[in-house]
Amino acid sequence: MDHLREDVISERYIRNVNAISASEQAQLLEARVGVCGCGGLGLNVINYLARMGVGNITVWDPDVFNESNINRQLLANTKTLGLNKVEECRRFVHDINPDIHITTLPSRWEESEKAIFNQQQVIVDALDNIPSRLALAEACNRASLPMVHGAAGGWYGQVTVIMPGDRTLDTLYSDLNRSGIEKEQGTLSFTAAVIAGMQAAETIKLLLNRESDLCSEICMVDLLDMGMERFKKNVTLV
Amino acid sequence: MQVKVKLFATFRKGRFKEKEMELEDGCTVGWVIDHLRLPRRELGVVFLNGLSAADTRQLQDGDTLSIFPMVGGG
Repeated sequence: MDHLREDVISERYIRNVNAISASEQAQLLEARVGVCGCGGLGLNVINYLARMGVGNITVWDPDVFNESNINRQLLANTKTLGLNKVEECRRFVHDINPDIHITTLPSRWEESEKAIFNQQQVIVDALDNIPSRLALAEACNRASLPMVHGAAGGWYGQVTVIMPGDRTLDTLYSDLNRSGIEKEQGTLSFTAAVIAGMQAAETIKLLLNRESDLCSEICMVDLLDMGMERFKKNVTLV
Repeated sequence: MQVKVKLFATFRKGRFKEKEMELEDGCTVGWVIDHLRLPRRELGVVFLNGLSAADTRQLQDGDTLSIFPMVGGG
């Protein structure tokens, strides 16, 4: 970490300045982010957070890479088939900056020690199924942790920030008997990257105490018609 | 009454992006969803004038209804 501190004024983060200040860069080097899911969304989120200089990243995912991941998952390729996703992620982050402290947990986040989960400053929801997303939102609420939600399907996606007490995911996923459009549409590479980029931006804002409209709004993204619409949340008309 | 209905993502296919619909008084959010044959198994969030709305919510003249499919992949 000392090397990271030196890097605040070194070449590695020079292109982050002045979008963020030197003191904000130092804040990021001390920051702790947990990423649940190391697939289409999670790998891109981690790539962006590592390049921003987030100093402590924890990632949960029990899976290995398979062929159907190659269309969208950053580290899925013919050489990584069958390899553990989080371990490949560790190597990737190490190559970006060996001083980033990355904790890789080849398990579902639900199986993790509570202490590891609770020590994060922000949790990123990069999961691929709705029941686990709802459980994660509940766990974040119990631990009083902000959660950055992102989901993708086909050309479409959504992003929002869930602060403790916010039940927005219950609105977005009100009926567990329904399924997301990704079951029929799959997920495209650029959709995962765009949604992950937005999640990374929201994560950085939370870490730096910057204001974000997505604490009170849901952003819906349509890459086919190039539309982005935002809606107020937390009020349901009955 | 007139209600503006906006469909999003896959719900646009074979339907429309946005349409002014002439509806009878007392129509609900759920009636519009069924009238447009939107698949309930894919239904996500519905916004009425920018606020999420329940199926049973009655529509008013001049309302804007935005209907999204559920998205949960990663």
